[in-house]
Amino acid sequence: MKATVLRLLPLLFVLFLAACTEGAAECPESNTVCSGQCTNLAVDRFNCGGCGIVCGGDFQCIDGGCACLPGQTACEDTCTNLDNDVRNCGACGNACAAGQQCVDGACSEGCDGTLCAVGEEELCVDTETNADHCGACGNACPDGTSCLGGVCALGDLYASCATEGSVVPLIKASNTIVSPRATGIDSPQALALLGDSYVLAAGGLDNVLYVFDRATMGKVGEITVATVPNQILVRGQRAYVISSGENLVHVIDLTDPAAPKTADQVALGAGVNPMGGAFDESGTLWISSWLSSRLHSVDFSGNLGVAGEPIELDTTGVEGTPYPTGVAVVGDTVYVSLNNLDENYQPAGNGRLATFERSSGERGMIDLGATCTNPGFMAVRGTEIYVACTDSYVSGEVAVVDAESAQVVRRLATGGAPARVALDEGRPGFVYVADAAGRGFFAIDESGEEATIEKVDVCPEAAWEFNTDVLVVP
Amino acid sequence: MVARRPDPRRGSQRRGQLASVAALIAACVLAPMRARAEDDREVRVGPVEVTATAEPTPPPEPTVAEEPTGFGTVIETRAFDGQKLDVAELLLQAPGTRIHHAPGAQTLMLRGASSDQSLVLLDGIPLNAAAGGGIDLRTIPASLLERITLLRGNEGARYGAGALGGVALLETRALRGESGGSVTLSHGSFGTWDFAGAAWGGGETASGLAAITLRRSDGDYPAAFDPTRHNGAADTTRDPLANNDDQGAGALLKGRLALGDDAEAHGLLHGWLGERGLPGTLYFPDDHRRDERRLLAAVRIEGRPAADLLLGAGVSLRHDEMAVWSDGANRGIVSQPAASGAGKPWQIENALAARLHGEAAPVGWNLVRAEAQVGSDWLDSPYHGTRQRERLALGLADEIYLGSSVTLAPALRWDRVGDHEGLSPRIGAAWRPIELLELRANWGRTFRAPTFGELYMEQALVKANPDLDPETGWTADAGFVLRFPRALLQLTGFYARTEDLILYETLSLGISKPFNLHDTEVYGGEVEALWHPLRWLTLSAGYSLMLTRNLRDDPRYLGNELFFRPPYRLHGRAAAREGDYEAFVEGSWQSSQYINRANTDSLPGGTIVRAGAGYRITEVPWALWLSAQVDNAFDALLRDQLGFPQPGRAFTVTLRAHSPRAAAPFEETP
Repeated sequence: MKATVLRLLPLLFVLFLAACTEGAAECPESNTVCSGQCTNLAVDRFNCGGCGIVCGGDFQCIDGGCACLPGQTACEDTCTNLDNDVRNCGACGNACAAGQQCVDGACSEGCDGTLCAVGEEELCVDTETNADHCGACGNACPDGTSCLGGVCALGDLYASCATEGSVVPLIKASNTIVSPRATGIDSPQALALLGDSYVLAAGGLDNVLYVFDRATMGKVGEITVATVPNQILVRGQRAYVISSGENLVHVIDLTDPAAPKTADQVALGAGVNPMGGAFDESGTLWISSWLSSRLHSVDFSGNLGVAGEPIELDTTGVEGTPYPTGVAVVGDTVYVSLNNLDENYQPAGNGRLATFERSSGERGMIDLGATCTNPGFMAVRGTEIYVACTDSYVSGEVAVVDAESAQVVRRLATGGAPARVALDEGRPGFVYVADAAGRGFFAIDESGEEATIEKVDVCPEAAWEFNTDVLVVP
Repeated sequence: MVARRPDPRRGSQRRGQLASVAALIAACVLAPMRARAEDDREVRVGPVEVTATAEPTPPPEPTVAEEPTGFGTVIETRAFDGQKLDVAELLLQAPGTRIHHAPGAQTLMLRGASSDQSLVLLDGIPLNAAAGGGIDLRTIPASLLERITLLRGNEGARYGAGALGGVALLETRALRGESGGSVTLSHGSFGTWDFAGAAWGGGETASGLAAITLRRSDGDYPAAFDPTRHNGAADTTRDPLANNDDQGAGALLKGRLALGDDAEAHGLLHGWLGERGLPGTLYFPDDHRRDERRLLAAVRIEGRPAADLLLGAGVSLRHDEMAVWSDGANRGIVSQPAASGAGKPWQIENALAARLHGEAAPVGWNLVRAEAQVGSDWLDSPYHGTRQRERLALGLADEIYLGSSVTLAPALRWDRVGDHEGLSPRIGAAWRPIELLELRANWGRTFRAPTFGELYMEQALVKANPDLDPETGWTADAGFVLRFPRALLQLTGFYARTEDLILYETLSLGISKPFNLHDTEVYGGEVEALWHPLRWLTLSAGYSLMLTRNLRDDPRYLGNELFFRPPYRLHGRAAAREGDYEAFVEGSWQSSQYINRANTDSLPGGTIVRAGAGYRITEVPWALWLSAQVDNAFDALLRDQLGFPQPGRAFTVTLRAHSPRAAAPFEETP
């Protein structure tokens, strides 16, 4: 017995020490621990201004207080838009008569929207924006959500925060952060939209594709994908995840978003390190190889993908290592951005776009100029290609290339480190650019005579936090 | 040579008068070198039977000079004659050790501490580079070593700042004033060849040793590769790993010269040249290669001006060069980028140290050790620039003997490493209520200054942080040692706490930067047993439990296990040698380990079995043995901590010859 006690004493001593030790949770400067999680009391509607303070109804948490979204007014504890609410037209309680509509805050005859029966009345509503009749008469949006494009959702603009592991919803009309944000992603790298109702996010460190419901930002499904997912493209009910860790395209069937399934995997070969991709109109996915100067293609027009022969890009004159990254397709031409970096991954010269004509096989190059260095991902609107020029993470810009003239026609001087670009197809002139050196994104409005650039911070204040991607719903 | 000290473990009291202790000394030009003397071991172990018949000697333990009250394991490489083991595999014979395997290096982690927090000394010369990352154990030729002492726990007070997890004391062959030699030639799977030769000689006045070692391996073992892992219909192939060869050569010169009756001079010169391929992953082949060169030089003089006073002075130099380069088309994604311009991007580090030390027993129940060190590290690197920092240290350690059964061992050391300085206190106690049993307990605290890499390295996607604070940590442990004439049992429990742990955080676009991010705790225990049930048979086993927790972090990770720290490891070995025959079998099991902070991904554990047998062909004039060995006998699929494949089953044949020598644990004398 004595020997047993002697043997056990050291272990007991150790266990006693361990049991008495408590850890200390730490949050970034802008956040506070509430219920074991870091949260920002300025924007969290469930902890607004303090842990446990909930904004009810339509109210959001804005600057630490419960309030209506910008552009809305509180009428009897309900947030509404006085410009188009037939029951509060121009002012709370000012109801338009039957058969009238509310336009710009004034009642007028007729109905350009939809007539929806409410009790014994018929009200003229815009089902694209009316939270009580969202997308259809009688479809009321849950508390905290808005009717955005006919869909009940928390937001219609999304930004991902790498270290917090979150996808933050915003209202694009006012760049207002709403809550809650989707969390639990280990370093979200890329975002995509699935149909009208879901946001996809790829975890760069946990290698998981997450499916979030836009109405709640709750997770509805997930699937492990090939390692180091860099980009997600969606076509129909399938997500195409470009994996640089395993040199392949991982195709996920999202017919049931709650139960994602692998539909296909197409290997691209050893040492490819695929980064970005874009579909052409025939269903072929064009993919850049970061480690070689090649363009790969996979024909996904059928049920399973068929990889084509890699194409050598013309990199003549590139001063450093090309590092092909972003891909865009305009008409017959595939465009591939070339980082052009030296051995320390610093810009070695001007950014370039390598070009490939699909029908003729001709290869070429577009010089993006001295102010566009380290170009990365791209987005296309019509015949214009928006190129995120990351630079050395200090003085980046977005270069706009006209595909017809093959020239840079505009430069949007954002500064910072533009990493990914999203274009609002529903609002021409609106551009969103993820800032990989900052806590948020650049919201650019080119619709006026001069472009305005607003920096929107969405991620917590921490030395190692940054915005990885931005997604806008048309 | 050491000052004669009281040995309560023998039940005797210190008698006689002693000279007063020399005071602590100002900076002087001196060198550290391990003074492993016969007297140390006599103090530690029980009665030793030296007979012509091969009764096994009692299991070896750390000497009092190495650690009076702490816990450790001694590995004598002669017990592994005929087996081909590298230094990492030898270190894994002891509980509490983990090896961090990566293509760039294999490094030691003791009791959950990082490689930078676990010190490695070769004949008293610290090998941990100021650039950081720990010491690559593959650059140390196992054939040149005779003894490895692993001390577990916070050893900063005795061995300097940085020893939060412990210390590995590697010792080359001692000079015993006898003559002899040995030659070993091995050939094994994957085109592996090893050669080692040594000759030694001398007498009472002077003795010397020269040794050489050569190694070459093609490294082209087949590795399993699945091109589309989530696609169940895809075939898995096995392809030889390319660019995984390595070759190296090492040499050692040692000498001892008596200076009168009471003084000796020791010198050491060791060189190593190596080149290896960095193969990359199966998905990203890599053509990068790594060149390594090392030179160690040390001179030490020790003398005994009085019966119970030892004074020593010495100087040592460590010169390391390393380059990673590529001429090939496969750049990979893990290795450093290819060098631009002509030549290889050599990174050169020099560490010069001078040491004065003394030991004295001013009164019968007290032994005092004092030490002063001054030195400097220089680094010239294409990734760090040119850096230099001074090292200063003053240390005082005491052993207080209360009666014949109790030892108290307080120690205190002050270190300055560049801009960082701090105190490392330690207190230990040992109580021997009966001859067979010794109870011990220890507490120690020390700090680790940030490495040059953490402070200054800007290379590719890795950034520096010159504002880093040192890591600080303390350890408490307690346990017992049971000694029998043919057996040893050691049981320990420990708790370790580290604050301001430096970790690299990923910033935008793959860039990473170090920050003092975390507080961590590691707790657990070690069990170690060694037994000679029969004269020709040795059984040994070790088990270590190491539980880790993240104590300061985002709430998502708070309380998680630290990554790359497998919590459980079990090791067992049976070895026999009788007459002309020898055999061994060895197995080790290691649990799975998390590989990220979120604890969402893990590397599976595994079991490795190794076995071998040998036959003595002749014993005159030299003993000549032929042996064979199989490693990873069950061809387990193993991966390192970055997911790189490790070799499967491998075979080795060894021919070794040695001159007649004193009885070893297994050998009969002719």
